[in-house]
Amino acid sequence: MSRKKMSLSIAAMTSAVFLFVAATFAWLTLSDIVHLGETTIELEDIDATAVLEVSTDGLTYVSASAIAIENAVPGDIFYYRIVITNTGAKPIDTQVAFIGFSNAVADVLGDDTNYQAGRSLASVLLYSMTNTANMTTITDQPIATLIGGPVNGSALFFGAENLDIAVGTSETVNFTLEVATTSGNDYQNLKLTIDTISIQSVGN
Amino acid sequence: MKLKIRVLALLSLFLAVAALGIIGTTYGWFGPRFTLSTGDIAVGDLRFSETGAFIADGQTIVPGQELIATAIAVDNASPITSQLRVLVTYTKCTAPDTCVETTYSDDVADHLAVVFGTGFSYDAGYWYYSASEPGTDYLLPADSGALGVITSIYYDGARTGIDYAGESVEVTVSIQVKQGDNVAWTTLAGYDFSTGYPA
Repeated sequence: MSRKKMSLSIAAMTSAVFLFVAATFAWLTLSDIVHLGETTIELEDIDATAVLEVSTDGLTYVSASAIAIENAVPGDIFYYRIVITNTGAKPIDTQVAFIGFSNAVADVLGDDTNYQAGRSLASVLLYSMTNTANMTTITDQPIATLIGGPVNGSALFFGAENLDIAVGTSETVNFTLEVATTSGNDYQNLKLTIDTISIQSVGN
Repeated sequence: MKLKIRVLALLSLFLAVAALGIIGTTYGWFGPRFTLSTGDIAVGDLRFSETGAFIADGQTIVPGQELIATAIAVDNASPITSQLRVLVTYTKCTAPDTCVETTYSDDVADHLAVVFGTGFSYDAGYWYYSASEPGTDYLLPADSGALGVITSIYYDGARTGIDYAGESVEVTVSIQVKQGDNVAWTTLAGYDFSTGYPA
């Protein structure tokens, strides 16, 4: 008897799940409202796009596939922005995270003394951020400070958080990377690789 | 019997997780995630090597005697643009036991004669490499290669006299190099060649 009850329970649960699946993936095309008995569940379509752009002067931006800076010198400022568009049917809360860092010599033909001494560009690479979604700013913070720990493959920092984006609108995260003018010769010929810039959204 | 219970338990767990996942997606608990490509940020460096030498220290010299044994030159292999300037100082005696360190400026009052390579011009104590047009802002291109700096230095016999008799003199050539942009010379003492070319 109890086996029969359990089997019926499993069958009911399976049916419910497949109904969710069918509704979610639009195998069953009814509307955006799915009725399950007395419960009404509104389907929330979360979707967004993100585009990275680069500028030499902070005014005119062009699309970029990645952050790529070569032969920078102290005082150089590089302008980037990420345009995030909410293409879904629900307001979203978005965050931008820089994940995974590694240090290396910029040019193997150059002097590797600074790299061998354990110096990292993250100590003198200043991150600044403004955005159009909220009033939060970050100004001239060394990446190492933002990470707050070892600069390695599992390190991360949040470049922008709590970006509320309404349906059908775009918000922009403007950020700059500047090689500190105080960096001096101790940071010559170093390279910092950022593994991933992750833009993640959830329903608001 | 035990096997059936295990199978049923595993199936129940799977269904529960699947249901949670679907509900989470439906309600927007889980949203889209984008990742942008790897970013590389690299800082350049100054790569200059120098050649040249004075004659041996400690010997007695006379006016007109060449003090450069090997012409002074640099080779630029830097991957960034740079600027180069030269400071020449020497001991100038204007009366017996009245000798002071002086900066060479190619003035008529200078007792030293210096022959620079082409493209150097004087401004406020320093000889700037400026290629064709005199100035202080010229940028050496990356990896510009060899550059002659000084080919000859000697005390000019027409301007020196008995005031130098028995005096010890010193001539110093300092070559300074800095990155092309964003910083002023005054802030870049660390970019100086540490060796210089002491007399």
